[in-house]
Amino acid sequence: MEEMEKAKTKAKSYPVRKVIAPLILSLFAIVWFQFSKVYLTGADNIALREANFAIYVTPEQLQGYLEATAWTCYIVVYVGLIFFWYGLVRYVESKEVSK
Amino acid sequence: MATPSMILQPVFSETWAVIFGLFGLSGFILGWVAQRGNYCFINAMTSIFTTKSLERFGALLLLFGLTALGTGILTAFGVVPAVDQYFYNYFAGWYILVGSFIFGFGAAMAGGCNLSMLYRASSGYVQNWIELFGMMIGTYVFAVAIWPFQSYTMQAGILSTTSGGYVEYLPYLLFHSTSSLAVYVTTFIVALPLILLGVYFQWRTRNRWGKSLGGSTPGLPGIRALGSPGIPTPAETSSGLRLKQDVKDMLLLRKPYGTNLSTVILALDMIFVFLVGAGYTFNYLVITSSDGGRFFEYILMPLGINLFTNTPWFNDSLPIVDPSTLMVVMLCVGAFSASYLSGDFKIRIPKDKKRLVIGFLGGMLVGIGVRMALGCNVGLMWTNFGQLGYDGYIFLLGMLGGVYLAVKVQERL
Amino acid sequence: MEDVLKIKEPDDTLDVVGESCPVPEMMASKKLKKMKSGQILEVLTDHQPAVDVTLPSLCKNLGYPYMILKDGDLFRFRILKVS
Repeated sequence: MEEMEKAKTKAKSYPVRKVIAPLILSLFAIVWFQFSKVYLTGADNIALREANFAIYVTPEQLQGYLEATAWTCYIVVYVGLIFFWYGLVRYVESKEVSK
Repeated sequence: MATPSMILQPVFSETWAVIFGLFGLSGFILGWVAQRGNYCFINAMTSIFTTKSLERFGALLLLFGLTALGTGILTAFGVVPAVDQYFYNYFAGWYILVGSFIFGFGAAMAGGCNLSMLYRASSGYVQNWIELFGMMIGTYVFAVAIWPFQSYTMQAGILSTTSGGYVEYLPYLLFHSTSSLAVYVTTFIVALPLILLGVYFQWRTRNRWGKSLGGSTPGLPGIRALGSPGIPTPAETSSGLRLKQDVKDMLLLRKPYGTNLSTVILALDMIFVFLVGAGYTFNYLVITSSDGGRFFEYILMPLGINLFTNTPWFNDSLPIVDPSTLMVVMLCVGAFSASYLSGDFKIRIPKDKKRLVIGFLGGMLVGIGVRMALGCNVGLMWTNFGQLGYDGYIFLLGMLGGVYLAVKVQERL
Repeated sequence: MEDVLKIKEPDDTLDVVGESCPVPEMMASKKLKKMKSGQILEVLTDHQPAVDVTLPSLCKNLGYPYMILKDGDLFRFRILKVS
C-alpha cells in the first residue's frame, strides 16, 4: 500500500525534461532553417564558382528546399510551443499539488 | 536491341518545395513508426543468433517483398515509368559485400542500424549519439583512405560493374527488356519468395514457441497487458473487442506498434516516396548520405571548413542538399515526437562506460561500411528490393555475416 | 513458478539500464548460459522494447518462465532458468 502511494506521488511529479524538450525542438527547427538559409546557400554559391556540378544544386531546387524547410519550421515551432506551454502548466500544477 | 532509356520521366507535375515537403513527411512517418515499432534491422538479425528467433527477420523479408511488390506493380502497370525505377540503381561490386559485412559488424557492436541509430538518438539514447558521431568520423576516414581506391575499381571495372541504372535491373538481366511484362514477371519472381519466406519464418517461430511452453508463459497479468505488442502468440488470441482496445491503445500511444503493422506502414511509406519522387530525384527512402556525410559537412561549415571543396567523395558524390536531407531531419523529429508523446523520451546513458567506446568504434565501422557499400540497410538494401536490383541480396548476405561475427565477439567481451 | 519468480531473491543481476536492443537480450543470453538450472536472473532495464519484445522472445525460445516487475522508471525482468 505504501509502495502504491509512493508510486502515485512519483507519477504526479511532472518531469522537467517534458517541459524543456519541446522548447529545444522548436529552437532546433529555427537554427536549422537559419543555417540552411545562410550556410547552404553560401556553399552552393561556392560550388557554382568552382564549377563543381557534381555537388552544385540548381537555384530552383535550393529555393524549394528552403521553402519546404520554412514551412516545416513554422509547424514544428508552433506545435513545440504548444507542448511547451502544456508541459509548463502541468509542471506548475504538479508542484502545487506536491506542496 | 535498343538500349533502355536513361532519361527520367516525372509522374506528377510538382514544385521542388512540394517534393521536399513530401519527403519530409515520409521521413516523419519513418521516424515515428520505427520508434513506435522498435524497428531495428540489426535486432532482427541478432535475434537469429541469440534467441534463435526468426520472427523479426521474417518481418524484414516481408518488408522487402511488399516493397518490391508495390513498386513493381506500379511500374508494370505504367503508373511509374520503368526508367524511374532503375535510373538510380547502384553499381554492383566487391565493395557491396565487404562494406555490408563491415557495416553489419559495426552496427551490431554499436547497438543499432542506421535507422535505429537515428530514432534512438532522437529518443535520448546517448549510446546512439556516440554511434552517430563515430559514423561521421568513419565517413571521413572512408572518404580520404578508401574512396580513391574504390572509385578506381568502379571506373576500371575491377570486380565491379562500371555503371548503374538498367545494368543491375533484374527485368533487363533476366529478359533483356524493361517492358511492362518483363517488370511484372520479375516483380513476382522477387516479391513472392520474400513474402512467403517471411510468413513461413514467423509461423515457424510462433509454432516453436507454442510447443516449447505448452501455450502459456507466466507473468503478472497487469504488466503483460501493458506490453505485449508484436505478433500474438498462440496463447494470446485477440477477440474483436481486444482488437478495438489494441487499436485505441496504439492511437493514444499507450502501446507500441506490432512488428507486422510497422512493416506494412513502412512498406507503404517507401512506395509513397517512390511515387511522389519519380522522375525528379532519388525516389526511395535513404538515410546515410545525410546523416553520415552531409551532417558532418554541415557541422564543419560554420567553422569555415568546406569539405566539398577539397575532400574526396565529399567533392564528387554528395550534392549540397537533396530531398533526403529534409527526410532525415524529419525522421529525427518524428522519432522524437513519438517518444516524447508516449512518455518514452529520456536521456539514457549506459552504466557500463565501455559501451560508449564500443559505440564510437562501432559507429566508425558503420560509417566506413555504408559508404563502401554505397548505402546502408535502408538506402541500399531495402531500397534495392524496390528498385528490382540484386545489390540488396548481396548486402543482406554480407550484413548477416557481419552481425554473426559481432554476436560471437560480444559473447567473449 | 510464478511464486518462485516473485518471492525468491535473484541469483544474479544484469544491469543494462541505458542500453537499447540488441544489448539486453545478448547480455542476458550470455549470462543465462553460465547459470545453473533453478537459478533466477534479474535484468534491470529501462528500455521498453526489451521488456515488451526481445527479452520475452529470448525466454520463449529457451522455454524459460519470466516475470516483469515495474519499479518506477525501471523494469525488473526476472528469468527462471529451467532444465
